[in-house]
Amino acid sequence: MRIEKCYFCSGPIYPGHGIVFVRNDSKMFRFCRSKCHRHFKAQHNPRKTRWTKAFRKAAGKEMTNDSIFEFEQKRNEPLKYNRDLYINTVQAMKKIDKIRLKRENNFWKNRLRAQRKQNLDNVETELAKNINLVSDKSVKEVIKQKAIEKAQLKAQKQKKQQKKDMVEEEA
Amino acid sequence: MSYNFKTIRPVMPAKDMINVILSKTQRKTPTVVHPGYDISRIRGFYMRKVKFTQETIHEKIDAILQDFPKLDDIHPFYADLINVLYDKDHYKLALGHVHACRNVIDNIAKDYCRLLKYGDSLYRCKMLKRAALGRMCTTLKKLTSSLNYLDEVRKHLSRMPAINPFERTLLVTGFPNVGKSSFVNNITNANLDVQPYPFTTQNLYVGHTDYNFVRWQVIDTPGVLDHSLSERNPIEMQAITALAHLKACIMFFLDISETCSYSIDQQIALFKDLKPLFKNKPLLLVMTKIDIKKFEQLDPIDQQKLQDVIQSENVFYSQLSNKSGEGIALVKEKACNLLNEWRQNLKPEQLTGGNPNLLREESILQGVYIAQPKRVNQNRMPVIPQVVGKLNRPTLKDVQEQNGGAGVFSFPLQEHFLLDNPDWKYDAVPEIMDGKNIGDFVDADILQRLEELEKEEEMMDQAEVEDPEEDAREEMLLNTRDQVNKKREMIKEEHHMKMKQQVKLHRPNLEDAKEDFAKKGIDTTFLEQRAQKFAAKKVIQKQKRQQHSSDDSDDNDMDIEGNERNQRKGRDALSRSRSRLREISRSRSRGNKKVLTAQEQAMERMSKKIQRRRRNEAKAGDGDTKIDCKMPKHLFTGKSGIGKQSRR
Repeated sequence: MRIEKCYFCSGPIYPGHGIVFVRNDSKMFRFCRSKCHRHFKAQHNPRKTRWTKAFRKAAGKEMTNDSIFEFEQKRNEPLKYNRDLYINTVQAMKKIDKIRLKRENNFWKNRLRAQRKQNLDNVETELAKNINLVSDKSVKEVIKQKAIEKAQLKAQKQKKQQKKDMVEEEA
Repeated sequence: MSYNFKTIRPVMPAKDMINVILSKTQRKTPTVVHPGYDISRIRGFYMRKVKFTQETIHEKIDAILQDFPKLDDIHPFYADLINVLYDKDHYKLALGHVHACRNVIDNIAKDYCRLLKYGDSLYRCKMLKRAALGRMCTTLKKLTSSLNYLDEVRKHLSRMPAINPFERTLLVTGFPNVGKSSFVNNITNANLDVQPYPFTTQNLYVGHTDYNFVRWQVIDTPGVLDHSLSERNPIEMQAITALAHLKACIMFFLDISETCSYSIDQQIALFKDLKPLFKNKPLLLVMTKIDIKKFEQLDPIDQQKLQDVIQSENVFYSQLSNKSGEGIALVKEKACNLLNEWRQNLKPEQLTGGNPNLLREESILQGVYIAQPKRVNQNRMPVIPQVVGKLNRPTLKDVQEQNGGAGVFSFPLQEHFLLDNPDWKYDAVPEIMDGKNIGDFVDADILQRLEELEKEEEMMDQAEVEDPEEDAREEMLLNTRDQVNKKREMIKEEHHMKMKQQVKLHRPNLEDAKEDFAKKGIDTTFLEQRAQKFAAKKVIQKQKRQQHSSDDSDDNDMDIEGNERNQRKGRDALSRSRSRLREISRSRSRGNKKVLTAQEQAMERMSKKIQRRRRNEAKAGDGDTKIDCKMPKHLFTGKSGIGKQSRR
């Protein structure tokens, strides 16, 4: 028994599920469900279908090359059964999984880092509008301060712009 | 040089042929022509028909002429046989007639085509074509007798036995009733008619037998009588033809017992008569019917005569009895050997008639010698090596029987596993865990690699640049945002509730209103004044109602209704607001443009708001369509049949 990977969405295919298509050049295509199968028959490119793992990896939204992926590899030559080895493997798998998750979360966090700053600024302006509802005084101060700074910046900009215009007019 | 005449196609009688040809012309050529056509087109039309007919007849006659064998081209044996059976002259004449007819028809067609070239009207061309076809058909009609004769010849020819003139043959001759057919029956698979009357056999018959792994033909001939060639009938002539042309071993049968109603003298006389035919061929004199009378039992005179013949002709002789079977094998052997010897002296071309396949066959057969091996070991016993011979442990079969038999016992395949530790043999090996395949992770040095990975992870942890400030700020902002959002929602809810409640509170009791306003610090004197006014109005209305009929103005009705409703429910905002408005507007229209107080303004605004909302609430918008049941069972059950599909 083996959990295969769906050709289209790269999801797991448990035993007893899905369809295998064998092409005339003897290449096998496994599909986890009819959705993936239908997409394949319609000749859609999994690298362009947003919800697939293939797209995510190709678009850099998921971690692609990391040393942790070398642990899980399809091995064609089986080793002779060794009980200790298997026990170790099972224990190691758990640890590896934990580390992998951690690394993936990190990756996503880094990816969204730039957005994060923008998000927080938006939140700040929103709070500035409803400042009367904010209960925490320290927070209120912070927000007020920020709002004032913003207004100042805006004013400066306007002045600059006016100056420019005047210069242009004269010229 | 074929010897098989079965492939001749049947010859149609002349009448049928004419019908076939004419109908074919009608079908295969265009049928429509009009006088208005171009004359060249008309001419072409009719010329086509004439030519087509001529061609068809030509084809059919060609087929006949090709199929029938030319007497000069076939083996002289067959040519002679055909002559004997069908008369060579008649045969040639018939074929000649057919051939001549073909030429005649060709000429007719040519002539009429030439005439057609000068036909100037449709009618003339048509007549010419009619004449042409007519003449052709008359010529064909004259062939009737020839065609009939040829068909008869064909039928007879196809039933002739396939005698291969180049195969090894034994030819059996003699007086009638001597025992020739019985002999052939004995040797071969043939089933010839054997009867006591003479001339039972009237044609040549062929049987096949084997000798020395080669096929031999045995030809049975009809009996031959002793008279001159010119007196012979066609049946005897067949035998003579065979004798004359076939390169075979001739077996002359002589009936010693004279039960064929011919004496030995007569038979010997026949033998001497036929001598010229036996020239240059192996000859075997066979004495038959020895079961009735043996050679020793004969008269010494007859014996002497036979001896003389044998010695003078220097001929091989043999005895057999068809009934008892005595001597048949010997006779066969002798005859075959004689022929083989004789054949060795002949040139291969003579034997095969130049056919390359047959030449090859001959060369192979002559060179064949089949060697038989000497059998040393008659009994071959099975050899079992000593090691296997004695087993100490129980066999698997015994184990199976002990543990329940064939259907019950299943041999554990793990028993013979070769592992580092034999305890592990019967382990249940896991394959899948947590959505992963364990086999993908199994590696000899996995522990080492795991260590390296963990070290790497530690390093990465240390090297990570965390931004605690940023995180704290994020936390604070998001929390406050959540709180603020919650508050906003609460405010919305309260407001909503208030609006609903306010509608109810709009017409409170005088005391409640006074209290309410007192709380808010508003002067309540105007309330009392208003209440008085209302009371007065009510009285007037009542009076009016009693006086007027139902055709009153809408206002009153509305008022009445409103009042009634009010009385029923106690809370009717619309009527209340209306009445309120009316009051205010009345005061306005009387010229007292009052400057409304704050309360009055608030009241006005409130009433308008409520009206607005009510107005909107009273109408049904896009979102107000409510379908309770989207698929009522009575509309969606049942098969559709051939019906329409416009309703879904």
